Amino acid sequence: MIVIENVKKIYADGTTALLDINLSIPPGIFGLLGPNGAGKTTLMRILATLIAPTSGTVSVAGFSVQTHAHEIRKIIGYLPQNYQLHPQLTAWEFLDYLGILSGMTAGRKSRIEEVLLQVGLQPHAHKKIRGLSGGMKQRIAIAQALLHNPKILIVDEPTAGLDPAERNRFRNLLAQFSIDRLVLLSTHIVADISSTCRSLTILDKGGICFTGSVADASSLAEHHVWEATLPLDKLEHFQGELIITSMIKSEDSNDVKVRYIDVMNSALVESSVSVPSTLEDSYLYAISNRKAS
Amino acid sequence: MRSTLATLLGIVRYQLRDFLRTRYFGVIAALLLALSLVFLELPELAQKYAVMPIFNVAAYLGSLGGILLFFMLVPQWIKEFHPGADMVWSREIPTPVFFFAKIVASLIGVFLAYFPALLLNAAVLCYYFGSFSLRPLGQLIAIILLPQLVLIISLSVLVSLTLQKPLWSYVVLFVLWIGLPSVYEKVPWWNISLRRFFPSPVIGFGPHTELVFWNRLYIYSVSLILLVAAFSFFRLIEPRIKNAPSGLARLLILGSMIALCILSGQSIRNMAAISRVSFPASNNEDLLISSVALEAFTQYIEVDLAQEILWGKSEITFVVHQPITTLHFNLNPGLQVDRVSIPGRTGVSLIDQGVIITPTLNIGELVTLIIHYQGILKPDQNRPNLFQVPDRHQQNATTAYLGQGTFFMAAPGNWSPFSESLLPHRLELVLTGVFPEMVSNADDIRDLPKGKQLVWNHIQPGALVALSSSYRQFLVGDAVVYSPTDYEHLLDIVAPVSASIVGTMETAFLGEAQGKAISIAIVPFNQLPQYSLGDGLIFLPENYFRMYASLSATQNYEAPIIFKRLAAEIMMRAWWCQYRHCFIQPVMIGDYMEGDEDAITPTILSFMALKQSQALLGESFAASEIQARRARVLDNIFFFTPNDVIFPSLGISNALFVRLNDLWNQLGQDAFLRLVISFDQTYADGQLSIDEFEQFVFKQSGVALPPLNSDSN
Repeated sequence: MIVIENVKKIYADGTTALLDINLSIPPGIFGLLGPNGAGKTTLMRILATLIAPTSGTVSVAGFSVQTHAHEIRKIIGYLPQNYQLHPQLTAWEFLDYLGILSGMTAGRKSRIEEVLLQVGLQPHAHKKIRGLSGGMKQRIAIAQALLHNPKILIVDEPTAGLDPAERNRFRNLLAQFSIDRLVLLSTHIVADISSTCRSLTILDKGGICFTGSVADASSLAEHHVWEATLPLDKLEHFQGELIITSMIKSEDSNDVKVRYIDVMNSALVESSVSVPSTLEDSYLYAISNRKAS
Repeated sequence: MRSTLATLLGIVRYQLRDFLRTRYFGVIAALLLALSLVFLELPELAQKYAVMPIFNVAAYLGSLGGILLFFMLVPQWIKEFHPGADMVWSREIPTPVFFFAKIVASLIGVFLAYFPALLLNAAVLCYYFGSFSLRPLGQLIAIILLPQLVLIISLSVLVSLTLQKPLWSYVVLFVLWIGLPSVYEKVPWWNISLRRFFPSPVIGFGPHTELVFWNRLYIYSVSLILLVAAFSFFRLIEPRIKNAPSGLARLLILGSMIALCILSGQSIRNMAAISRVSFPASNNEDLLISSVALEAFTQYIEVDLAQEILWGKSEITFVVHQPITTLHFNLNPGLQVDRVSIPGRTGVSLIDQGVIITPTLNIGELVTLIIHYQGILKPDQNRPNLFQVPDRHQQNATTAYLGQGTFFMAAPGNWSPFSESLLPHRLELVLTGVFPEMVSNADDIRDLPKGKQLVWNHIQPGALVALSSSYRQFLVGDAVVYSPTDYEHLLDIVAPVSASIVGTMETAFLGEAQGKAISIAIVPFNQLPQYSLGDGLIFLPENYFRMYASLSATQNYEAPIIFKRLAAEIMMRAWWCQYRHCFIQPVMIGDYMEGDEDAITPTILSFMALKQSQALLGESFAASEIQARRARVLDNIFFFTPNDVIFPSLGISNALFVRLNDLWNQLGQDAFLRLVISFDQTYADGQLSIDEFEQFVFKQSGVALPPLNSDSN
C-alpha cells in the first residue's frame, strides 16, 4: 500500500513537478498515465526513495520515504525510464551485481536464472550487454527490477522499445507478478494500462486529473466522443477546434471519416454520431478538460 | 557481518571486472610496461648496481604512471553519478559499504595495471641479478611506489567526485600531478604533499630513515584525509534520499579527521626537525638490503703500461648477514677471472655469474674472498672518467653482479673486477715500465726493478681546487696560504658545462696555467679521475664538485657562485689540514644536527671560508647566506629553494654559523682568528659540546658567544 498525501515537488531551478498530490495506491497493478512532463517520473523517483518531496508525506508499505528510505529500498523493485547498464558485463553478471547490491545472498543464482527465463533472455545470458539489441537491454532492465522479488514494483515506461510480442509478454509477466503485490506502472501508452490495470491515475502538469477504476476512466468521455464524415477540405477548419482521435479517408470519395472529442459536449460537425468512449478517449478528454478549466 | 563482507567482496568483484574490461585498462597496463622497460635501461642493466634501476622504475612508474591512472580512475568513480544509475541507488546497499568496495576495487585495479610491469621487472632482475633482487624490488615498491599510488588514488577519487566531469577532473588532476611529490625536484607551495618525496635510504643514499618514515606517514595520512573527505562528499552527493548518519558515524568521521590531521601535523614537525640530519646520511642498518656487509677491500693491481696488460687481486672481507651460498658478481667483461678462493675453505668456484660457496656461509661469519684476474688496458679519454667502460655485448667474458647490492656497484671499470664500486680501503698499484710522474698522495712509493709500487692505505677523495691551489695564495689572517681568486677563471669556465667535459677543460686549463702539457695519471678510480701535473702534483676532483657541475648544467642555477663558494670551503679545509697535518675531509652536503659535537670544527671552517672569500663571492652573497642560514633555524625553513643551491647546504650547524658571524662582528677579524687558532690548540680533536664551546669563547675572548636572534647581520 502506498499513501501519498499533499505531496509537492519543486526542483532547485524552480520547476514545479508535482502539485499537492494525494493518492492511495492499493495492491495490484495500478496505472499512472500522463503525457511527457506530467510529473510521473518525479513521483516514481520519490517512491523509489531517490528524491525527497518538497512537502507532504509519502508512505510505502507503512515506511516514510523521508525517514525510512533504507527499509523501503529492501522491498521495492524499480525500473527507471532512463537507465545505464554496464556494457562490459554480461547480462548474467549484471544481474548478479545488482542482486549483490540488493543484499541477496542465498538463492541469488537460481533467481537470476528464473528472471532471465521470465524475460526470455536465457540464451543471451552470457553475452556482453554491449552486444545486445535495444529490446534485449530493456528486458535486462525489467529483469533487474524483478530480481529480488520485491513486494512493490515501480516501473517507469517499461514497454518503450519493446516489439508487440515482447510488450504482450511483459504485460502478462506484470499481471502474474502483481498477485499479492503492488505494481505501479507509469506510462503514456494507454494500451499498457487498459490491458493490465484495474485502476489508475491520470497526471498532467504535476496535478491529478483523474483517479479511479479503468472502467470509470473509460467512461469519462462518454457523450463527448463523436464520429462524422466530412469533406477533406473542411477538415482543416475543425482541426484547431476538435481533438481528432482518428481519421480515415474514404476510398471512393474525397470525404474523411473522423472520430473526435468535443470537450464542450456539443457536436460541432453536422451529422455527427455519438459513440462509446474508450480509455484513450477519456485520457485525452481528461487532459483537455484540465487545460480548458 | 558475514553477509556485509560477502556483499563487499561481490561489489569489489564486479567493480573490478568493469575496470579490467574497459579499453583503457589494457592500454594503460601496456604503457606502464613500456615505461618500466625504459627505466630499466636494459642495454646497460648488467653493468649497473641493481638497486638503481629498481629505484628508477619504482619512482617513475609512480610519478609518470600517475597520469595514466587518472584515465582509469576518473570514469570509474563518476559512473554512478551519471543520469541512469537509478537502478543502483534504489537498492539497499549501504553507502559506506559501497564506497569502501569501490576503494578496494580501485586499489586492486591499479595494482593489476602495474602487475605486468612489476612482473617484467622481477623477471629481468632475477635474470640479471638473481632472485635475491626480488627483496629490494619489494622494498622499493613498498617504500617508493606504493605511497605515490595511494596518494594518486585518493586525489583522483576526491577530484572526480567533486567535479563529476571527466575533462575537468583530468585538468585539475594534471595540475595537481605536476606538484605531486617528486624525487628530486623542488616542491612548490601548493604541492599536495607540501614536502619533498624523500628518496629512501634503503638504496644507500637519501635522507635519514626516520625522515623517510615521517615523510611516508605524512603522505599516507594526507591520503586518508582526502579519502575521508571524499567519503563525506560521496554521502552528500549520492542521488538518493539519505538517512541522517548516526551520531556514532559522525563522531567516527570527525574523530578520524582530527586524528589524521594531528598525525600529518606531527609528521611535518618531525620532518622539519629530522631534515637537519646530514645528507647523504650514513648507512642505516635497519634498512640495509645487503646480505653481506663489506668490512675491508684491498685491491692489488700490477700494470704493464707498455704492453697494456694488467694482473690483479681483490681481497674482499665481509660479514654475512643472511645465510648465502652464492655471491653474484658483475665482473668487468674486459677482465678474465683466473680463480676465486676463500682461505680455509674448499668448495669455492666461479660458475657463470656467481661464486658458489659450499657449505653455506652462516650469519655473523667473517669471510675473505680473493679474486685473481687479468685483463687488457683500454684507456678511453673521451669518457668523463677517462677509462673505457667495456660494452658487455662486445665481450664474451662473464658478467655478473657482486653480492646483490652488497657493495656499491656501478658500471664496471677497467682495472678492478668491480671498479666504480666502493673505493678500495687499501690499494697497491705496481706500474711496470716507465711511468713519469705518479704521486697521488700515495702513502708509500717504492721503486721496484720493474717499475714503481704505490700504496694507498686510506683512500679518500681529494679536492681539485684545494690541491691545485697550493701553488697560489689564500690569505688567512697574516699567513699566506692559498688564493682562491686566482682560480676564478677556472671556476667560471667549468661551471656552465656538464660534468662529462669538465675533466677535459680542467686538464686544458691547468696545462696552460702550468705552461706545459699535463699528463693524465692512470689511476683506477673511475669516479675520481686524477690528473698529474708535470711536477708531481696530482689531484682528484671531488664528487661534490662534479655533482654541482652537473647540477648547474642541467638546472641553470648560478653555478659560478656555487663553485666559488664550494672552492672557498675546500680551500679552508685544505688550510686547516695543512695547519693541523690532517687529511682533507670531504665537504658534506647537508646539515649537522644543531649542537652535534662533530659540527663545531666544520662550522668554524665553513664560516671562515665564507668570510675569507668575500672578495670572490661578494659582500652581498655573504650577507644573504648568513641570513638564509638564520632563517633556516629561526623560521624552521627547509624547503628547497634556489637559495639552497646558491648557498650550498654544507655540513655545518646553521645556528652556530650565525652565532659565529655575530661574534666576528663583535671581535673583529684578528681577534676571531686568534680565537680559532687557540681553539685548535685546545681541542685538537674538535669534539666538544656547544656549552663547552661557549665557555671556551668567553674564557679566551672575554666576550660571550652571542645568542641566536634575528636582528643582527
